[in-house]
Amino acid sequence: MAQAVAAREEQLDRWAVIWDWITTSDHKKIGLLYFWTSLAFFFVGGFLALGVRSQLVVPNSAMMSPEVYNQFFTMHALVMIFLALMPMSAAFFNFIIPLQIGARDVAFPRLNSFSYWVYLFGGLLLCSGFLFGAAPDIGWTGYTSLSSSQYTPGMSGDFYVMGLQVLGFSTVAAGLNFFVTIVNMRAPGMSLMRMPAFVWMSLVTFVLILLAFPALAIALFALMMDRNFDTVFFSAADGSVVMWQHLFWIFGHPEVYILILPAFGIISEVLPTFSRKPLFGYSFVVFSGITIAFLGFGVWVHHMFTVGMGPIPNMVFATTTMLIAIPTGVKILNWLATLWGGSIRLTTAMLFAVAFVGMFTIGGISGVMHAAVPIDYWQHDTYFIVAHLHYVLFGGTMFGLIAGIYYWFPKMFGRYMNEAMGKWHFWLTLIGFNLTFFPMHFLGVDGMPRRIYTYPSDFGWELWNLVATIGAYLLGFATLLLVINLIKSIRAGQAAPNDPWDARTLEWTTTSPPQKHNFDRTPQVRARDDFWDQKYNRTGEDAEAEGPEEHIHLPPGSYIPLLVAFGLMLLGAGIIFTLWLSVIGGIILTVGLFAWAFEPND
Amino acid sequence: MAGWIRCGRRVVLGALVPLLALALAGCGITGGEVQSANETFADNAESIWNLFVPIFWLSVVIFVLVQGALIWAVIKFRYRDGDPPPPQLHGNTKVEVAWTIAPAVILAIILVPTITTIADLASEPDEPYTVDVIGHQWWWEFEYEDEGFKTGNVLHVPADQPIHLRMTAADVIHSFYAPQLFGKQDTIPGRTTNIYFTPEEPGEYYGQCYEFCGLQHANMMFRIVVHEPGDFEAWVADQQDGAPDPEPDTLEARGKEVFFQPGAACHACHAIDGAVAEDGTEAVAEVGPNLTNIGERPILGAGALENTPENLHDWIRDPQESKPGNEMPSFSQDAISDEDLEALVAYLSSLQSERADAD
Amino acid sequence: MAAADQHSGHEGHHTTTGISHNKLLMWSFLASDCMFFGSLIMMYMVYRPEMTDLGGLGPNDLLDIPFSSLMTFVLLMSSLAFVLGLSSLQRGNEAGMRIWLTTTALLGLLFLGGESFEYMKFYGEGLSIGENIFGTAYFVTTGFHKIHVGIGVIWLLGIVAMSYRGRVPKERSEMVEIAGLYWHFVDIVWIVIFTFIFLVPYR
Repeated sequence: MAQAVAAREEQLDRWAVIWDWITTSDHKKIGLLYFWTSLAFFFVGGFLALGVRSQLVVPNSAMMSPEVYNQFFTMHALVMIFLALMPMSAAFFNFIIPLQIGARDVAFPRLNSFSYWVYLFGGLLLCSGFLFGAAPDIGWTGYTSLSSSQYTPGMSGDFYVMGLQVLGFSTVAAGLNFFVTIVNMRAPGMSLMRMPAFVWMSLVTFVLILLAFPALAIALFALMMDRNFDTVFFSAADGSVVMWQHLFWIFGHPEVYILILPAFGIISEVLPTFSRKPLFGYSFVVFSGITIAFLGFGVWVHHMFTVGMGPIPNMVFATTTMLIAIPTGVKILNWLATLWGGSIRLTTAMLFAVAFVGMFTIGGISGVMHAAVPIDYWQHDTYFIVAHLHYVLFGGTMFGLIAGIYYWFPKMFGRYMNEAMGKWHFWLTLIGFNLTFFPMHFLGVDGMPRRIYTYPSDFGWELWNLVATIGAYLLGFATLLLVINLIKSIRAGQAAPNDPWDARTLEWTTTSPPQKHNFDRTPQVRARDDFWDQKYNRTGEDAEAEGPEEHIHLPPGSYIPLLVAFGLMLLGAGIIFTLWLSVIGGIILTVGLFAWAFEPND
Repeated sequence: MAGWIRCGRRVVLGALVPLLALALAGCGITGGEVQSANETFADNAESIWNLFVPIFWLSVVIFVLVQGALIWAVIKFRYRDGDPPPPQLHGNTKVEVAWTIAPAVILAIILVPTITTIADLASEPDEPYTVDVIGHQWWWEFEYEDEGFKTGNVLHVPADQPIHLRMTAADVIHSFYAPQLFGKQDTIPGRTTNIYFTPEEPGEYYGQCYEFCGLQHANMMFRIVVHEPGDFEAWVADQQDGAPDPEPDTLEARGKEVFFQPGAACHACHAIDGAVAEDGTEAVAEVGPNLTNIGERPILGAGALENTPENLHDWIRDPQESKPGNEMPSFSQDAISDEDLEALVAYLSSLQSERADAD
Repeated sequence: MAAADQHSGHEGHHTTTGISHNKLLMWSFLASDCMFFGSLIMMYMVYRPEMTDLGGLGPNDLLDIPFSSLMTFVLLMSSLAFVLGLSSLQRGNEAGMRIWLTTTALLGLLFLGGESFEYMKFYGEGLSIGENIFGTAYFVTTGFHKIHVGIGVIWLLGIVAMSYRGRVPKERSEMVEIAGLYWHFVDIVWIVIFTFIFLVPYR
């Protein structure tokens, strides 16, 4: 009888578990949702990349039609940037930030859940273009007038506009939420200059999100009006074709820092932990991050040097672009100095972090090359740029995020990842990555334009395209190892203690995985790297680091954020398909918002 | 611990891969192709390359220093069993300030030649020879306004003469770039952009569109033929004379009739300067490229095919085969019979300037 | 966003800065909103020089500055009414708050009505949203502002409705204060729009 009851309970449990995940407002669960979803989209983006590389492996390839190829490379960029890299950062924001600042949750748990669901629905909306054979095919930059309804009629342009617009809501909502969380929910004693570097870099990221995404939203809004409601913002005759580029890059350049700063933060945690030394020049790293964010709004024209705005703007923006290289260089040197004199353990996380410094340096150096405007007249829109941006976004952001996965996995799942397989993953990734992207510099020297679906055989581009494609497949294989490692380690990895790495920050003081309420008592912070300080510098009474016992209150779950997110997605989808959908979506959205406002949540 | 040492060695190897590649790059593993930026034949491209070379070597130095320090640190400071925590060094303001200033100085050094080169490339030379460039989806139109003729996909210019390309676009944004001659500028509908360059050596140079412009962005190539100054004048005179009229009762003459006949109606989209049908119809349409000198162009369909009679035949029969999505319709047997097509190809192939015949 | 900031973690929570989560959320949202309007107004300013010669359908032909000034005055008065409402509540006068907030909302509606009247007038003269760049930029920029005003009106009326049910006591006056941040911001944005679209001469 006990068995029957147990079986029934188990069945009930399964639905309860699913319902619990759908309605959860726990930052850790939302973090895991972000993690797995972004990993899935990372594979979609990787698949598209392999498609692109397969098409280009030989000249005059007939594997793909230009329609399909253009959808592949456009969606590769959109998926990787908006659906894989940013959300994977968001996974760590969600899981780690509240733990690192000693909080029980984020400031607005339901808004947090809303962000996730909008991300999921928006991502599906963007990708569903493939189902209609009309995925965006205008490049992720969506330049007008190519993206106008005249030159890209039909749904593909609308999928681009509405997909990104919906996703923007997710990002801005998350940005607001985490900005408030970091500013307002730090444990007692955690002054700004005691915050872990990851929290600092994240905070800068959120400020960038809040100030940069509006430009994209307005650009997309104007493009939507142009495409669907006959306005003339970007028409060559009445408006300005180039206006789009200004708005897009006022968003787009800070976006690059939105992508890379979280990785900077992760590296600034991993390197000190495995060197057993504090981050060298903490305040310089912090202020260089802030400087990057500030200058990031003043360099957008370096994406537009060939637009012909005249020598003076080009000179000014060449100068600001070179200025922004200074704080970036300072960061690299500080990471080196963190390693210097340390006691370095080369775990997989550390290997990725070290490789990050090396690979990102290459991307930074090539970046300075095309900051020199005349060189950009050559390198702009050649494969040299493709090489550069992948050294920043893969060698930089992705290496950083992977380091984060290996580093925080024991905290997230309570088990170690398999180090042997991790090492294989690392070396194959490093080799595959360089094999794929370093030859693209050569292709750039040989003048191969980006975004071409085919090329003739007598231009000398065959060899390096072949090498790059081989590298890409190696990279794809390496990434499979990551997933196998993740799954195997979750099932049967070696159990991890609370503090497996002898680390320095607060997330390692709680259980692995963290208990539902994170901390039994609110931590009392007395130093930067407070946990290290607790372990090595405090004795006896001094070690009593936690506050008094207190009443722990956790907000209940809610399905309303999901509902509102769904309404928002329908509202966007209506612009693509039929306006009736928008009406239904608008009604769901409005009802949902009222329900949200009046739902008791205590 | 042995394991960590082994790892350290592997770090060395891993970082050596790109380093080695970079060294090989210097030894000619790249460059020297038709669209390579490192072999320059005009002042504009040369000044770009001359700016690049010192920055490149500076980059190599920085690259070696950073990667070297990284690898050195990882090997030298590896953990050995039982090591106590190292001194907890939080930073050193003097060092920090020094390495904030160091990159600033390096960048300032780069900035100076950058700014002078920007100014150089933007300044209009004395008495340039001006050609208008118009980007279309997906071909290039070149207009010699003062001389009163147009051509498509092949730009002819004289050597040792400053050239001014005055550029715009008819539909979407394109970008005009011939790596061996000049740096790129976008061509933008509703705007004018400019390129100034002085070609130094006669020859044929490659270029193509570098700004993604839709389906056939890949097949939007062009050639630039640089003539000896005297030859150029002869070529211009030939263009002004218009296309040569074929001898009567030849295959070419039949081809010219086909050009105007209803099934083909090439003149609905294309112009051939000086070609007049028997009923007085002129070929002056400007939807597609001007075909006045098509016979002497090296490429068809803006680089989709090499220009041979066989390819021209295939191209007219089905342009969607080699360049799917382009504006030119396919012509079935019903529209142009095999014999007619043969005549048409013969006619079009014969459209060459006399100077080209003389070569 | 209107509803988003009304939930969770309101009164009583201790925060690092001493500012409540909701208020900080509103401030950071407004910072972000600045960039929304900033982008639109920047676009308008770039297009402005093109607007002088639009064949009888340009700003010099259509804009009615006295009327718009009146509407601006109405919107400014609504802000004043709001301030009076908030101070009523802070003094414990809930009925007074309801009267003043209703006045605020009505003035907001009057502004929307007046602006819509102007839309109709422009449209009647032949200026559609796709007619020329002035039509496009004018309707979209002011329309975006109108949506903000509309959301504000709904929000204010929502507060009034809640107050009738006794759910907006003096202790929760911060809720009204936050709505006020939004309302005043929308008001200030209008001043900027009014200046750059209406007042600065088109040459």
